[in-house]
Amino acid sequence: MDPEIKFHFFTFKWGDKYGPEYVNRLYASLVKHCDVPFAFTCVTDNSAGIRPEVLLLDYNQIGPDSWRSYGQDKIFTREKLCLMDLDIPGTKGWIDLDVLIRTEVTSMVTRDFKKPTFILNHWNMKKENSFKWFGKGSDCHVNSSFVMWKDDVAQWLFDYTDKHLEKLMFTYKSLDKYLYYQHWRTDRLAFWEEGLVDNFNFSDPPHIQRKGVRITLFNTSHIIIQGMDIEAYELHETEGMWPMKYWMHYDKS
Amino acid sequence: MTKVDAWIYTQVTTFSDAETIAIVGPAGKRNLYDEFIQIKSFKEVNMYDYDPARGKDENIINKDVVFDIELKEDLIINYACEKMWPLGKIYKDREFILVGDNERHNGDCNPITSNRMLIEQNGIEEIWSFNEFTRWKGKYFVVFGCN
Repeated sequence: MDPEIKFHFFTFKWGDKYGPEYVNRLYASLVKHCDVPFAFTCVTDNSAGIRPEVLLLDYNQIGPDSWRSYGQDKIFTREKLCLMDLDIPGTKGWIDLDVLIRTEVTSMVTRDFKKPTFILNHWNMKKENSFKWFGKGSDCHVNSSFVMWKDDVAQWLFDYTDKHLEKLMFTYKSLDKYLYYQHWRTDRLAFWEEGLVDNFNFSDPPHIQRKGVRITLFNTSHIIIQGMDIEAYELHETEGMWPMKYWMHYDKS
Repeated sequence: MTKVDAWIYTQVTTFSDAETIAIVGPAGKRNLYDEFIQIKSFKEVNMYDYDPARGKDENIINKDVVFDIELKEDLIINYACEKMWPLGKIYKDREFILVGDNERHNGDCNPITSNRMLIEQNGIEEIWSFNEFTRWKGKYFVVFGCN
């Protein structure tokens, strides 16, 4: 690692859900909208088509063996937490591939983070009964698509997860639910302020281009898993809609 | 009082040696708590629920009994076995009343499909009684014993 680099972004690409264009455009969006020198690393099982400026880590080597021994139906995307155990000084973060960075994020990522900072699903929390099913384990208002922290302020989260691994793997299917039920509940996490991040498919009204928003999420996996009747789009499915113009534009960066 | 609560009440007041009781995951139910706190042989009765909304109830200890704290009570009544790591793996030499259902709700990590499952998961070595009760879409399985 270049010691002059104080900002380290990571993303994950495994399996075939997303192609290399997702990685390349995410990297290009940071080049355009983040005004500090940074390194960008893709943790992947297939580096084909990824532009050469992007650093690579082998997905099959990330994290302890004990974590890798569980199936993908246990704390899905738990691999992200392993980044919190990397011995790299500076500001670090991960960005999911299904995220569109729309405008400058320098002021977001250069904060003096005291806690790992996640997305709170403000768009869902205002809905009627949004906390009604907490006790049943059905709610989830934390999203881990754009997460930042500084130095070792997030080390505890990796350590906690590792310490309670068996019980946590038994209890939670997704990373976001684990974070919500164990760490949002106990105020161990920080969150981006309302208005910085929205959700293309879930913010109300959906699919519009809101002013002031810097990051838009396009996650659809839980819609499919839960069989929800919602008109939802991944980034590459937004042909003829405003996100595609942004996204394609990053091919030129 | 529901059939399940009536069954629990009968077991506890007839057979239990406990002086202290933990009621885990009562949600909105207060029947058993209200009954037990009036029985002088029970020196302490506590309710535990980690739902922040339940924390407004001064009688609820707003903690997660798997991850936050260690239970001290002699008898643990767990209303929500389908939603958590089996408490019998954490707490030994206790009396347990275990209640779980097989309806497989979205948040259920541990759907309970039989009394045997409750017994094996929690290492129950002495089984004092067990039963089944019909639910809306499935069944409650209930076991009373100790490990």
